[in-house]
Amino acid sequence: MKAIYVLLSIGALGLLFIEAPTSKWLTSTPERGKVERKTPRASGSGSTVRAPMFIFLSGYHGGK
Amino acid sequence: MNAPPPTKLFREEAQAGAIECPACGAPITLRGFGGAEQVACSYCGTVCKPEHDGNLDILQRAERQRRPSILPLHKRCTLDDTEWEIIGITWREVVSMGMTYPWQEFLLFNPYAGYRWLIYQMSDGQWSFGGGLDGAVKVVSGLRPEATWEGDTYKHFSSANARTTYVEGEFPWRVLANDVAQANDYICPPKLVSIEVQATEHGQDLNFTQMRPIDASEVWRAFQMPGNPPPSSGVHPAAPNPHQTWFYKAAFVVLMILWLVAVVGYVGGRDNEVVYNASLPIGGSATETLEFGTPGVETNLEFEFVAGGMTNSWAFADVLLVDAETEEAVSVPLEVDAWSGVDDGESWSEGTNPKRVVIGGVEGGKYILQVATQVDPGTTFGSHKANSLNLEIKRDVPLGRYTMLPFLVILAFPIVNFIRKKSFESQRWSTSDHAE
Repeated sequence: MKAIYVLLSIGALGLLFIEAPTSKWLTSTPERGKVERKTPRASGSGSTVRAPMFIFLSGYHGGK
Repeated sequence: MNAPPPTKLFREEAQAGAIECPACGAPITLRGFGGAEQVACSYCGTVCKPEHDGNLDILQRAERQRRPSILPLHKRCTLDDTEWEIIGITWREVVSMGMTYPWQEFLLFNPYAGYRWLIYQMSDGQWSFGGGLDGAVKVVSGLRPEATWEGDTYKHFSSANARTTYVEGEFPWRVLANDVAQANDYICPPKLVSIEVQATEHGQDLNFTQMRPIDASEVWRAFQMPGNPPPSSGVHPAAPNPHQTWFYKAAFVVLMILWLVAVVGYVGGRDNEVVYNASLPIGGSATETLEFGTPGVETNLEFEFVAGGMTNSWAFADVLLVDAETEEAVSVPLEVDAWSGVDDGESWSEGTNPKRVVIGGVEGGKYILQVATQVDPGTTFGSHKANSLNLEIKRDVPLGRYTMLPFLVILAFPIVNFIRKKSFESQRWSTSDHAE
Protein backbone atom coordinates (compact mmCIF):
# COMPACT_ATOMS: atom_id res chain seq x y z
CA MET A 1 0.00 0.00 0.00
CA LYS A 2 2.79 2.41 0.94
CA ALA A 3 4.84 1.48 -2.11
CA ILE A 4 1.79 1.87 -4.34
CA TYR A 5 1.15 5.30 -2.81
CA VAL A 6 4.68 6.48 -3.49
CA LEU A 7 4.74 5.02 -7.00
CA LEU A 8 1.37 6.47 -7.99
CA SER A 9 2.21 9.88 -6.55
CA ILE A 10 5.55 10.03 -8.31
CA GLY A 11 3.87 8.82 -11.49
CA ALA A 12 1.25 11.56 -11.28
CA LEU A 13 3.92 14.16 -10.55
CA GLY A 14 5.91 12.83 -13.49
CA LEU A 15 2.83 13.28 -15.64
CA LEU A 16 2.68 16.91 -14.51
CA PHE A 17 6.39 17.48 -15.11
CA ILE A 18 6.76 15.67 -18.41
CA GLU A 19 3.46 15.07 -20.15
CA ALA A 20 1.43 18.14 -19.19
CA PRO A 21 3.20 20.57 -21.59
CA THR A 22 2.18 18.46 -24.61
CA SER A 23 -1.13 17.40 -22.99
CA LYS A 24 -1.51 14.29 -25.09
CA TRP A 25 -3.12 12.03 -22.53
CA LEU A 26 -5.68 14.05 -20.60
CA THR A 27 -7.19 16.00 -23.48
CA SER A 28 -9.71 15.35 -26.23
CA THR A 29 -8.36 13.37 -29.10
CA PRO A 30 -9.14 15.34 -32.23
CA GLU A 31 -9.99 13.63 -35.45
CA ARG A 32 -7.09 13.71 -37.82
CA GLY A 33 -7.20 13.09 -41.54
CA LYS A 34 -6.45 14.36 -44.98
CA VAL A 35 -8.27 17.25 -46.61
CA GLU A 36 -9.18 17.84 -50.18
CA ARG A 37 -8.68 21.27 -51.61
CA LYS A 38 -11.93 22.51 -53.15
CA THR A 39 -11.63 23.95 -56.61
CA PRO A 40 -12.71 27.60 -56.41
CA ARG A 41 -15.75 28.51 -58.49
CA ALA A 42 -15.37 31.09 -61.16
CA SER A 43 -16.78 34.31 -59.83
CA GLY A 44 -17.51 36.41 -62.76
CA SER A 45 -19.52 38.85 -60.72
CA GLY A 46 -16.46 39.67 -58.57
CA SER A 47 -18.30 39.04 -55.27
CA THR A 48 -16.60 37.24 -52.35
CA VAL A 49 -17.35 33.53 -52.20
CA ARG A 50 -17.64 32.61 -48.52
CA ALA A 51 -17.30 28.87 -48.92
CA PRO A 52 -14.88 26.40 -47.33
CA MET A 53 -11.60 25.91 -49.14
CA PHE A 54 -10.96 22.47 -47.72
CA ILE A 55 -13.16 19.44 -47.32
CA PHE A 56 -12.24 17.09 -44.51
CA LEU A 57 -12.22 13.60 -45.86
CA SER A 58 -13.39 11.91 -42.69
CA GLY A 59 -15.11 12.68 -39.48
CA TYR A 60 -18.06 14.50 -38.02
CA HIS A 61 -19.17 17.65 -39.75
CA GLY A 62 -21.76 18.86 -37.33
CA GLY A 63 -25.28 20.00 -37.83
CA LYS A 64 -28.50 19.00 -36.17
CA MET B 1 8.50 -30.52 78.91
CA ASN B 2 9.09 -30.60 75.20
CA ALA B 3 9.17 -27.27 73.32
CA PRO B 4 6.79 -27.00 70.33
CA PRO B 5 8.44 -27.37 66.92
CA PRO B 6 9.36 -24.05 65.31
CA THR B 7 6.96 -22.66 62.72
CA LYS B 8 8.21 -23.42 59.24
CA LEU B 9 8.77 -20.48 57.01
CA PHE B 10 8.35 -22.64 53.91
CA ARG B 11 6.37 -25.73 53.25
CA GLU B 12 8.24 -28.88 52.45
CA GLU B 13 8.88 -29.28 48.78
CA ALA B 14 6.08 -31.09 47.05
CA GLN B 15 6.69 -34.76 46.57
CA ALA B 16 6.83 -35.90 42.97
CA GLY B 17 5.04 -39.08 43.82
CA ALA B 18 1.39 -39.82 43.17
CA ILE B 19 -1.01 -37.93 45.38
CA GLU B 20 -4.60 -38.95 45.40
CA CYS B 21 -7.58 -36.64 45.43
CA PRO B 22 -9.11 -37.08 48.89
CA ALA B 23 -12.60 -36.83 47.33
CA CYS B 24 -12.49 -39.09 44.28
CA GLY B 25 -9.13 -40.82 44.54
CA ALA B 26 -7.93 -39.59 41.15
CA PRO B 27 -4.18 -39.03 40.81
CA ILE B 28 -2.99 -35.46 41.30
CA THR B 29 0.47 -34.27 40.34
CA LEU B 30 1.84 -31.08 41.84
CA ARG B 31 4.11 -29.15 39.46
CA GLY B 32 4.29 -25.80 41.20
CA PHE B 33 6.76 -27.07 43.79
CA GLY B 34 6.19 -25.50 47.16
CA GLY B 35 4.26 -22.54 45.83
CA ALA B 36 0.90 -24.24 45.33
CA GLU B 37 -1.69 -22.70 47.62
CA GLN B 38 -4.44 -24.94 46.34
CA VAL B 39 -5.03 -27.66 43.81
CA ALA B 40 -8.31 -28.48 42.09
CA CYS B 41 -8.79 -32.09 41.04
CA SER B 42 -9.11 -32.30 37.28
CA TYR B 43 -11.66 -35.07 37.54
CA CYS B 44 -14.12 -34.08 40.25
CA GLY B 45 -13.23 -30.43 40.78
CA THR B 46 -12.67 -30.78 44.50
CA VAL B 47 -10.36 -28.03 45.65
CA CYS B 48 -7.69 -29.05 48.13
CA LYS B 49 -4.96 -27.31 50.04
CA PRO B 50 -1.53 -28.97 50.24
CA GLU B 51 -0.55 -29.32 53.86
CA HIS B 52 2.93 -29.22 55.39
CA ASP B 53 2.96 -32.96 55.74
CA GLY B 54 2.34 -33.42 52.01
CA ASN B 55 -1.31 -34.43 52.36
CA LEU B 56 -4.23 -32.62 50.75
CA ASP B 57 -6.91 -30.93 52.80
CA ILE B 58 -10.27 -30.41 51.13
CA LEU B 59 -11.24 -26.75 50.75
CA GLN B 60 -14.29 -27.13 48.52
CA ARG B 61 -15.83 -30.45 47.67
CA ALA B 62 -17.29 -30.68 44.18
CA GLU B 63 -18.72 -33.24 41.84
CA ARG B 64 -18.46 -31.43 38.59
CA GLN B 65 -17.65 -32.81 35.18
CA ARG B 66 -14.31 -32.10 33.64
CA ARG B 67 -14.47 -29.45 30.96
CA PRO B 68 -12.36 -29.85 27.86
CA SER B 69 -10.33 -26.66 27.74
CA ILE B 70 -8.81 -25.56 24.48
CA LEU B 71 -5.37 -26.41 25.90
CA PRO B 72 -4.93 -29.39 28.25
CA LEU B 73 -3.52 -29.20 31.75
CA HIS B 74 0.22 -29.86 32.01
CA LYS B 75 0.78 -29.11 28.33
CA ARG B 76 4.11 -27.40 27.79
CA CYS B 77 5.04 -24.61 25.43
CA THR B 78 7.85 -22.21 24.64
CA LEU B 79 6.88 -18.55 24.68
CA ASP B 80 9.25 -15.60 25.00
CA ASP B 81 12.15 -18.08 24.84
CA THR B 82 10.98 -19.73 28.06
CA GLU B 83 9.44 -23.13 28.53
CA TRP B 84 6.17 -23.03 30.39
CA GLU B 85 3.77 -25.61 31.67
CA ILE B 86 0.07 -25.17 32.20
CA ILE B 87 -0.44 -25.92 35.88
CA GLY B 88 -3.86 -24.37 36.35
CA ILE B 89 -6.93 -23.59 34.30
CA THR B 90 -9.87 -21.39 35.19
CA TRP B 91 -12.94 -20.57 33.18
CA ARG B 92 -14.45 -17.20 33.84
CA GLU B 93 -17.20 -15.10 32.34
CA VAL B 94 -18.85 -11.73 32.44
CA VAL B 95 -22.46 -11.00 31.63
CA SER B 96 -23.19 -7.77 29.83
CA MET B 97 -26.47 -6.64 28.29
CA GLY B 98 -27.80 -10.17 28.71
CA MET B 99 -24.89 -11.66 26.79
CA THR B 100 -22.34 -13.97 28.39
CA TYR B 101 -18.71 -13.55 27.41
CA PRO B 102 -16.68 -16.54 28.65
CA TRP B 103 -12.94 -17.02 28.54
CA GLN B 104 -10.37 -19.58 29.66
CA GLU B 105 -7.31 -18.61 31.68
CA PHE B 106 -4.25 -20.83 31.65
CA LEU B 107 -1.73 -20.40 34.45
CA LEU B 108 1.73 -21.08 33.06
CA PHE B 109 4.63 -21.88 35.33
CA ASN B 110 8.37 -22.05 35.01
CA PRO B 111 10.37 -22.62 38.20
CA TYR B 112 12.90 -19.95 37.22
CA ALA B 113 10.62 -17.41 35.52
CA GLY B 114 7.54 -17.70 37.71
CA TYR B 115 3.96 -17.44 36.55
CA ARG B 116 2.32 -16.13 33.40
CA TRP B 117 -1.24 -16.01 32.13
CA LEU B 118 -2.45 -17.14 28.76
CA ILE B 119 -6.05 -16.14 28.11
CA TYR B 120 -8.35 -17.47 25.44
CA GLN B 121 -11.47 -15.40 24.75
CA MET B 122 -14.09 -17.97 23.81
CA SER B 123 -16.49 -15.44 22.27
CA ASP B 124 -14.13 -14.16 19.58
CA GLY B 125 -11.09 -16.46 19.63
CA GLN B 126 -8.65 -13.75 20.71
CA TRP B 127 -5.60 -14.65 22.81
CA SER B 128 -3.66 -12.65 25.42
CA PHE B 129 -0.37 -13.40 27.16
CA GLY B 130 1.14 -11.67 30.15
CA GLY B 131 1.85 -11.71 33.82
CA GLY B 132 1.48 -9.91 37.09
CA LEU B 133 2.89 -6.45 37.66
CA ASP B 134 5.46 -5.88 40.39
CA GLY B 135 3.79 -2.69 41.52
CA ALA B 136 0.52 -0.83 41.70
CA VAL B 137 -1.00 0.99 38.75
CA LYS B 138 -2.03 4.57 39.38
CA VAL B 139 -5.63 5.16 38.41
CA VAL B 140 -7.07 8.59 37.64
CA SER B 141 -10.84 8.36 37.87
CA GLY B 142 -13.21 10.47 35.83
CA LEU B 143 -15.63 10.18 32.96
CA ARG B 144 -12.95 8.30 31.01
CA PRO B 145 -10.67 6.89 33.72
CA GLU B 146 -7.02 6.44 32.95
CA ALA B 147 -4.27 4.35 34.47
CA THR B 148 -0.56 5.03 34.39
CA TRP B 149 2.19 2.48 34.65
CA GLU B 150 5.87 2.97 33.88
CA GLY B 151 5.21 6.24 32.06
CA ASP B 152 2.48 4.85 29.81
CA THR B 153 -1.08 6.09 30.03
CA TYR B 154 -3.74 3.44 29.66
CA LYS B 155 -7.31 4.33 28.66
CA HIS B 156 -10.16 2.66 30.45
CA PHE B 157 -11.69 -0.04 28.28
CA SER B 158 -14.19 -1.96 30.35
CA SER B 159 -15.24 -2.85 33.86
CA ALA B 160 -17.29 -5.89 34.69
CA ASN B 161 -17.83 -8.52 37.34
CA ALA B 162 -15.98 -11.64 36.31
CA ARG B 163 -17.27 -14.88 37.80
CA THR B 164 -15.15 -18.00 37.98
CA THR B 165 -17.10 -20.96 36.66
CA TYR B 166 -14.49 -23.69 36.53
CA VAL B 167 -11.18 -24.45 38.25
CA GLU B 168 -8.69 -27.16 37.43
CA GLY B 169 -5.10 -27.71 38.53
CA GLU B 170 -2.96 -25.92 41.07
CA PHE B 171 -2.68 -22.27 41.95
CA PRO B 172 -0.44 -20.22 44.19
CA TRP B 173 -3.52 -18.45 45.54
CA ARG B 174 -7.08 -19.31 46.45
CA VAL B 175 -9.49 -19.47 43.54
CA LEU B 176 -12.83 -21.22 43.78
CA ALA B 177 -15.77 -21.68 41.49
CA ASN B 178 -18.27 -18.84 41.81
CA ASP B 179 -15.61 -16.40 42.98
CA VAL B 180 -16.49 -12.94 41.68
CA ALA B 181 -13.97 -10.18 41.04
CA GLN B 182 -14.41 -6.79 39.49
CA ALA B 183 -12.17 -6.74 36.43
CA ASN B 184 -11.14 -3.31 35.11
CA ASP B 185 -9.28 -3.30 31.84
CA TYR B 186 -7.17 -0.38 30.61
CA ILE B 187 -5.45 -0.34 27.25
CA CYS B 188 -2.38 1.26 25.76
CA PRO B 189 -1.96 -0.85 22.62
CA PRO B 190 -0.25 -3.23 22.39
CA LYS B 191 -0.48 -3.45 26.18
CA LEU B 192 -3.43 -4.06 28.43
CA VAL B 193 -3.50 -3.65 32.19
CA SER B 194 -6.13 -5.47 34.15
CA ILE B 195 -6.95 -4.47 37.70
CA GLU B 196 -8.96 -7.06 39.56
CA VAL B 197 -10.63 -6.26 42.83
CA GLN B 198 -11.94 -9.14 44.87
CA ALA B 199 -13.53 -8.94 48.27
CA THR B 200 -11.99 -11.30 50.79
CA GLU B 201 -12.56 -12.00 54.43
CA HIS B 202 -9.67 -9.68 55.23
CA GLY B 203 -10.69 -6.82 52.96
CA GLN B 204 -10.01 -6.36 49.29
CA ASP B 205 -7.57 -8.28 47.19
CA LEU B 206 -6.03 -6.26 44.35
CA ASN B 207 -4.30 -7.88 41.39
CA PHE B 208 -2.51 -6.03 38.62
CA THR B 209 -1.84 -7.91 35.42
CA GLN B 210 -0.32 -6.75 32.18
CA MET B 211 -1.29 -8.57 29.01
CA ARG B 212 -0.56 -8.29 25.33
CA PRO B 213 -2.32 -9.78 22.33
CA ILE B 214 -0.81 -12.94 20.94
CA ASP B 215 -1.67 -14.52 17.65
CA ALA B 216 -3.61 -17.78 17.80
CA SER B 217 -1.21 -19.40 15.35
CA GLU B 218 1.72 -18.45 17.61
CA VAL B 219 -0.02 -20.14 20.55
CA TRP B 220 -0.71 -23.19 18.43
CA ARG B 221 2.88 -23.41 17.31
CA ALA B 222 4.19 -22.83 20.83
CA PHE B 223 2.14 -25.72 22.18
CA GLN B 224 2.70 -27.86 19.09
CA MET B 225 -1.02 -28.37 18.83
CA PRO B 226 -2.29 -30.36 15.85
CA GLY B 227 -4.29 -28.67 13.11
CA ASN B 228 -5.29 -25.03 13.13
CA PRO B 229 -6.46 -22.87 16.02
CA PRO B 230 -10.13 -21.88 16.17
CA PRO B 231 -10.79 -18.88 13.96
CA SER B 232 -10.79 -15.47 15.61
CA SER B 233 -12.96 -12.49 14.85
CA GLY B 234 -13.16 -8.85 15.78
CA VAL B 235 -10.33 -6.82 17.25
CA HIS B 236 -8.37 -7.57 20.42
CA PRO B 237 -8.78 -4.66 22.87
CA ALA B 238 -5.02 -4.09 22.87
CA ALA B 239 -4.31 -4.96 19.26
CA PRO B 240 -1.97 -2.43 17.67
CA ASN B 241 -3.75 -0.44 15.00
CA PRO B 242 -2.16 -1.61 11.73
CA HIS B 243 -3.05 1.72 10.14
CA GLN B 244 -1.34 3.78 12.84
CA THR B 245 1.69 5.06 10.99
CA TRP B 246 3.63 8.28 10.49
CA PHE B 247 4.49 7.26 6.97
CA TYR B 248 1.47 8.83 5.28
CA LYS B 249 1.83 12.10 7.17
CA ALA B 250 5.51 12.39 6.33
CA ALA B 251 5.05 11.25 2.74
CA PHE B 252 2.09 13.61 2.31
CA VAL B 253 4.14 16.62 3.40
CA VAL B 254 7.07 15.73 1.13
CA LEU B 255 4.85 14.97 -1.85
CA MET B 256 2.81 18.14 -1.36
CA ILE B 257 6.01 20.21 -1.43
CA LEU B 258 7.02 18.44 -4.64
CA TRP B 259 3.55 19.02 -6.04
CA LEU B 260 3.63 22.75 -5.25
CA VAL B 261 7.03 23.08 -6.91
CA ALA B 262 5.77 21.16 -9.94
CA VAL B 263 2.59 23.26 -10.19
CA VAL B 264 4.49 26.54 -9.96
CA GLY B 265 6.94 25.32 -12.58
CA TYR B 266 4.21 24.01 -14.85
CA VAL B 267 1.87 27.01 -14.68
CA GLY B 268 4.72 29.51 -14.80
CA GLY B 269 6.25 27.78 -17.79
CA ARG B 270 3.16 27.98 -20.00
CA ASP B 271 2.94 30.65 -22.72
CA ASN B 272 -0.87 30.75 -22.66
CA GLU B 273 -0.68 32.62 -25.96
CA VAL B 274 -3.74 33.68 -27.95
CA VAL B 275 -3.09 32.66 -31.53
CA TYR B 276 -6.52 33.49 -32.93
CA ASN B 277 -9.45 35.55 -31.73
CA ALA B 278 -12.06 36.70 -34.19
CA SER B 279 -15.75 36.95 -34.92
CA LEU B 280 -17.04 34.32 -37.30
CA PRO B 281 -19.52 34.79 -40.12
CA ILE B 282 -22.91 33.37 -39.23
CA GLY B 283 -23.66 30.45 -41.50
CA GLY B 284 -20.50 30.98 -43.50
CA SER B 285 -16.84 30.17 -43.28
CA ALA B 286 -13.58 31.89 -42.51
CA THR B 287 -10.07 30.97 -43.51
CA GLU B 288 -6.85 32.29 -42.08
CA THR B 289 -3.23 31.35 -41.90
CA LEU B 290 -1.85 30.73 -38.41
CA GLU B 291 1.69 30.25 -37.28
CA PHE B 292 2.34 29.27 -33.70
CA GLY B 293 4.79 27.47 -31.46
CA THR B 294 8.07 25.94 -32.42
CA PRO B 295 8.06 23.58 -35.39
CA GLY B 296 8.39 19.99 -34.23
CA VAL B 297 7.54 20.78 -30.61
CA GLU B 298 4.16 19.55 -29.49
CA THR B 299 1.84 21.74 -27.50
CA ASN B 300 -1.82 21.96 -26.63
CA LEU B 301 -4.52 24.17 -28.15
CA GLU B 302 -7.61 25.45 -26.39
CA PHE B 303 -10.61 26.34 -28.55
CA GLU B 304 -13.35 28.53 -27.11
CA PHE B 305 -16.47 29.00 -29.21
CA VAL B 306 -19.15 31.41 -27.98
CA ALA B 307 -22.45 32.47 -29.50
CA GLY B 308 -24.26 35.66 -28.54
CA GLY B 309 -27.97 36.51 -28.47
CA MET B 310 -29.05 32.89 -28.62
CA THR B 311 -32.26 31.59 -27.04
CA ASN B 312 -33.59 28.06 -27.49
CA SER B 313 -31.18 27.62 -30.32
CA TRP B 314 -27.83 26.14 -31.28
CA ALA B 315 -24.77 27.07 -33.26
CA PHE B 316 -22.02 24.91 -34.63
CA ALA B 317 -18.48 25.55 -35.80
CA ASP B 318 -16.46 23.01 -37.70
CA VAL B 319 -12.85 24.00 -37.10
CA LEU B 320 -10.19 22.58 -39.37
CA LEU B 321 -6.49 23.11 -38.77
CA VAL B 322 -4.72 22.13 -41.94
CA ASP B 323 -0.97 21.65 -41.98
CA ALA B 324 0.14 23.92 -44.80
CA GLU B 325 2.81 21.48 -45.96
CA THR B 326 1.25 18.05 -45.62
CA GLU B 327 -2.42 18.97 -45.84
CA GLU B 328 -2.97 16.74 -42.84
CA ALA B 329 -5.84 18.22 -40.88
CA VAL B 330 -7.15 18.24 -37.37
CA SER B 331 -10.91 18.53 -37.09
CA VAL B 332 -12.45 20.09 -33.97
CA PRO B 333 -16.25 20.26 -33.97
CA LEU B 334 -17.63 22.84 -31.52
CA GLU B 335 -21.29 23.16 -30.70
CA VAL B 336 -23.03 25.57 -28.35
CA ASP B 337 -26.68 25.59 -27.37
CA ALA B 338 -28.96 27.40 -24.95
CA TRP B 339 -32.39 26.17 -23.90
CA SER B 340 -34.81 27.59 -21.38
CA GLY B 341 -38.48 27.53 -20.51
CA VAL B 342 -41.07 27.27 -17.77
CA ASP B 343 -42.53 23.95 -16.65
CA ASP B 344 -45.24 23.88 -13.98
CA GLY B 345 -44.36 27.42 -12.97
CA GLU B 346 -40.68 26.55 -12.60
CA SER B 347 -38.26 28.20 -14.96
CA TRP B 348 -35.34 26.19 -16.22
CA SER B 349 -32.38 26.65 -18.45
CA GLU B 350 -29.67 24.39 -19.80
CA GLY B 351 -27.08 24.22 -22.51
CA THR B 352 -23.40 24.87 -23.13
CA ASN B 353 -22.24 28.30 -24.16
CA PRO B 354 -19.33 28.92 -24.48
CA LYS B 355 -17.87 25.59 -25.45
CA ARG B 356 -14.22 24.89 -24.65
CA VAL B 357 -12.20 22.03 -26.06
CA VAL B 358 -8.53 21.36 -25.47
CA ILE B 359 -6.55 19.14 -27.76
CA GLY B 360 -3.01 18.04 -27.12
CA GLY B 361 -0.04 16.86 -29.10
CA VAL B 362 -0.28 19.54 -31.83
CA GLU B 363 3.08 20.36 -33.32
CA GLY B 364 3.98 24.01 -33.70
CA GLY B 365 4.22 25.32 -37.23
CA LYS B 366 2.23 26.94 -40.01
CA TYR B 367 -1.44 26.03 -40.37
CA ILE B 368 -4.44 27.07 -42.39
CA LEU B 369 -7.40 27.59 -40.12
CA GLN B 370 -10.78 27.03 -41.67
CA VAL B 371 -13.95 27.51 -39.70
CA ALA B 372 -17.36 26.76 -41.15
CA THR B 373 -20.37 27.72 -39.02
CA GLN B 374 -23.99 26.70 -38.93
CA VAL B 375 -26.76 28.12 -36.80
CA ASP B 376 -30.23 26.97 -35.90
CA PRO B 377 -32.68 28.42 -38.45
CA GLY B 378 -34.82 29.42 -35.48
CA THR B 379 -38.19 28.19 -36.63
CA THR B 380 -39.42 27.36 -33.14
CA PHE B 381 -41.66 29.91 -31.42
CA GLY B 382 -39.71 31.95 -28.87
CA SER B 383 -36.32 30.98 -30.19
CA HIS B 384 -33.66 33.42 -31.28
CA LYS B 385 -30.77 32.32 -33.35
CA ALA B 386 -27.26 33.48 -32.56
CA ASN B 387 -26.47 36.98 -33.72
CA SER B 388 -22.73 36.75 -33.11
CA LEU B 389 -20.17 33.96 -33.11
CA ASN B 390 -16.65 34.18 -31.78
CA LEU B 391 -13.73 31.78 -31.74
CA GLU B 392 -10.61 32.09 -29.63
CA ILE B 393 -7.65 29.72 -29.89
CA LYS B 394 -4.87 29.65 -27.30
CA ARG B 395 -1.77 27.56 -27.32
CA ASP B 396 0.26 26.14 -24.45
CA VAL B 397 -2.43 26.67 -21.83
CA PRO B 398 -2.04 25.32 -18.25
CA LEU B 399 -4.58 22.60 -17.58
CA GLY B 400 -6.08 22.09 -14.14
CA ARG B 401 -6.56 18.40 -14.73
CA TYR B 402 -2.80 17.87 -14.82
CA THR B 403 -2.30 19.75 -11.57
CA MET B 404 -5.29 18.17 -9.81
CA LEU B 405 -4.53 14.56 -10.69
CA PRO B 406 -1.33 14.32 -8.59
CA PHE B 407 -2.97 16.36 -5.85
CA LEU B 408 -5.85 13.89 -5.63
CA VAL B 409 -3.51 10.89 -5.67
CA ILE B 410 -1.30 12.43 -2.96
CA LEU B 411 -4.36 13.24 -0.86
CA ALA B 412 -6.34 10.04 -1.44
CA PHE B 413 -4.05 7.53 0.23
CA PRO B 414 -3.67 9.40 3.55
CA ILE B 415 -7.45 9.90 3.62
CA VAL B 416 -8.09 6.21 2.95
CA ASN B 417 -5.56 5.28 5.63
CA PHE B 418 -7.19 7.71 8.08
CA ILE B 419 -10.62 6.17 7.43
CA ARG B 420 -9.25 2.65 7.89
CA LYS B 421 -7.51 3.70 11.10
CA LYS B 422 -10.71 5.20 12.49
CA SER B 423 -12.70 2.16 11.39
CA PHE B 424 -10.26 -0.11 13.23
CA GLU B 425 -10.57 1.98 16.39
CA SER B 426 -14.37 1.97 16.12
CA GLN B 427 -14.28 -1.80 15.91
CA ARG B 428 -11.92 -1.99 18.89
CA TRP B 429 -14.01 0.27 21.10
CA SER B 430 -17.33 -1.28 20.03
CA THR B 431 -16.81 -3.98 22.66
CA SER B 432 -15.83 -1.54 25.40
CA ASP B 433 -17.79 0.48 27.92
CA HIS B 434 -17.17 3.50 25.69
CA ALA B 435 -18.68 2.30 22.43
CA GLU B 436 -19.87 5.15 20.24
